[in-house]
Amino acid sequence: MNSQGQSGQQAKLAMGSGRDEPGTDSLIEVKNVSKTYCRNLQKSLRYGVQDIWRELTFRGSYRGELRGEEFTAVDDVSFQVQKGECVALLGPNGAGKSTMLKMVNGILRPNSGSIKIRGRVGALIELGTGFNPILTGRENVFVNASVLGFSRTETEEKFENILEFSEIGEFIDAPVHTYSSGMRMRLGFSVASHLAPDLLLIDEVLAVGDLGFRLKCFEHLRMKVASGVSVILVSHIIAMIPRLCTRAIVFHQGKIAFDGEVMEGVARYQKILGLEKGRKALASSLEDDLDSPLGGEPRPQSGGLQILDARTLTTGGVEEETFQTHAGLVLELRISAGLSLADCRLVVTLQSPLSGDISILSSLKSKFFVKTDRDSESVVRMSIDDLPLVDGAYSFRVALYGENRSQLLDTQSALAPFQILNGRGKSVTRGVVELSHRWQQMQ
Amino acid sequence: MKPIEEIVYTPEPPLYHPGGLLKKIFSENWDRRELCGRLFIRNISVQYRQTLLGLTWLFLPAIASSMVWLFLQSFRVIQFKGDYTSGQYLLFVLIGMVLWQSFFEAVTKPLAAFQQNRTMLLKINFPREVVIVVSAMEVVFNGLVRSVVIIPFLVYLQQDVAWTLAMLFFPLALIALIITGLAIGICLMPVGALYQDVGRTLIIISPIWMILTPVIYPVPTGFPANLLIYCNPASPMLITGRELIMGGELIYLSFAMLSLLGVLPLLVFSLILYRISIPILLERVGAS
Repeated sequence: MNSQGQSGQQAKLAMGSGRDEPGTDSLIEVKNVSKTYCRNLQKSLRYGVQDIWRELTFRGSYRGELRGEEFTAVDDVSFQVQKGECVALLGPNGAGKSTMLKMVNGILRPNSGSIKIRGRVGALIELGTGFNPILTGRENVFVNASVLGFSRTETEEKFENILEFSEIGEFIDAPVHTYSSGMRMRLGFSVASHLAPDLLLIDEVLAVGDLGFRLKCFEHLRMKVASGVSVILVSHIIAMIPRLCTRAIVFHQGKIAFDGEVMEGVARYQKILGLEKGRKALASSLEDDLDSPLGGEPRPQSGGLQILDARTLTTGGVEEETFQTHAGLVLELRISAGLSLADCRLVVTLQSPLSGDISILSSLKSKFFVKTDRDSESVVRMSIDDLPLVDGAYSFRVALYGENRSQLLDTQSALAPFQILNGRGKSVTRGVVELSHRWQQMQ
Repeated sequence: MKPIEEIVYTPEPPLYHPGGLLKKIFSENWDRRELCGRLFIRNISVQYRQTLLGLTWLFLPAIASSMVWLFLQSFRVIQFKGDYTSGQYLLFVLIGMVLWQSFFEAVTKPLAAFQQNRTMLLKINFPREVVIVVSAMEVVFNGLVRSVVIIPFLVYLQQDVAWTLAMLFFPLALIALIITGLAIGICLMPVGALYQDVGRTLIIISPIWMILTPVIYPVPTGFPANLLIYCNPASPMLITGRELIMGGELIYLSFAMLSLLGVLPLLVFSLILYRISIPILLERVGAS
């Protein structure tokens, strides 16, 4: 059976269980998909009218060169998702994740390429869509469920489970405008999570309610995945992702920067995030230099000293960007000096894009001082013998002080980015650090 | 063995297969008729839940404006040919206002419905025409409820207006008028969703268009006054609908039927236009 429909959509029905057909394990096949947007509203509206007119006159959708102010939000992306696979789409804001999800959901049409989906798609993209504040929670459950594709009978059958999961209790018969935002989200998640799709698309909806409810949501999704449902998840709650997903696709500037094992994907994402943060910090410091003589942080003074470069090395002195937990790491800094100083101090902050400052190490505490000669370059190394960090991406912020404690000579962020990667199945600790510890049974 | 659906999304415009597209539009919306019913009930119940007068708000505008026109006519502020008694004129204007308001609500509703539902359209994949079907149901419901106000006036004015079987066909004229309004409204919706000029223009032309339609005055005869009927899509059905109750001669019945025949292809075209426009509109205007 074939028919044509919205978004250049072709639909046909195939006979099968949906889970065990030989040779058809791919639930989604995304092939060379691109999507463009326009950043200028007036032009975007004009292109909209032109596009509608093109299609009405059987000239097809516009596939030529980028028009003025257009940019590629998703650029030649291809991937597949197998049945029962849980994939995290990671990437900084504006990387193209949500656009990709909307195309997979059939809401937006790709400008090129194709997306083939086998099975029923459910989407948790915005919780409580269709909720009306004047109606009671009960009325809204039925409306929301109907929008999501439940029949009245199905909703009635699942109503008690939905109510129990949402923990709304007797407030179910109160108007939704009396609910807190958390209660509203919980009710929305409860309805949507009772869908029974083959593929579930989740876009940033897991920051729902309190921590207890969030964990409950993750547990619920984990059970769905265990039952064979495929999930594509967009979330910035990185700590939760490895618990649910086995694979990560990292988007960066509209392209796939990485597709593979989840921890490696998380590390890659954190690295991208760290670089972007560093770039933004640099841009804002340049703006501060131009615009404001009074910054929130101490400004570097012109002392003729500058951090030129930084890199990470193994304890054997070999340049390396990937380490394992508890390995040794050497940070090498190259400093240029315009004058000779005897007692310069360094403050090195180990950072993670997600956890912020992890450790602040000052050379003063170790009674180490950098000595520089006029018009020369100095190389300084700081060794960490046992790096207790877990899988992820990290970088350093380095501040160089002069002889006077308040004399900040130079400071730079996002230096020497590196990643900790222990390989599949070897990452035993979650959080930020793996502390040395031992267990004892006393009785 | 249950059938599993395979869907392929491509840049290919659905209009390349208009037959399949129409079939899909109708079958998808038929499958989701329960959703249409539920959204219709939600919208109607929400519409008047926060009011004291409830559905009375549907009658009040028509009654109030009819009274104003009656007042103006009784003091000969406005004059036109015709031998209506005050009661007959009140009924004449009231029916005209009920029909006109239903028609214009149908013209404006598709754009309003898109604006109201665009967040939902952008987040959930459901048959896009559900929004239009629900809007149509609301406009028909409002029109029928609004028409109920005519009955007490008919009872009160039974010496002036005779009860006839033709009155039973009034709802058909009302629905035909609403279909005409919807077809126009859906055609305007895509450009209206992109440019607010359309919505603003509709606000401006509403009173002008009403004055150019024989709502408060009798049907003009002779050229060029009769162009108000032949060039105005609202006129033939409005006149016919009113004459079905007032018991006048149905001189525009055949023209009204011809207009409806012309409107039906326009309605089909508008639905296709709506379907191909929605992804483009969502991409361009996004969520509210």
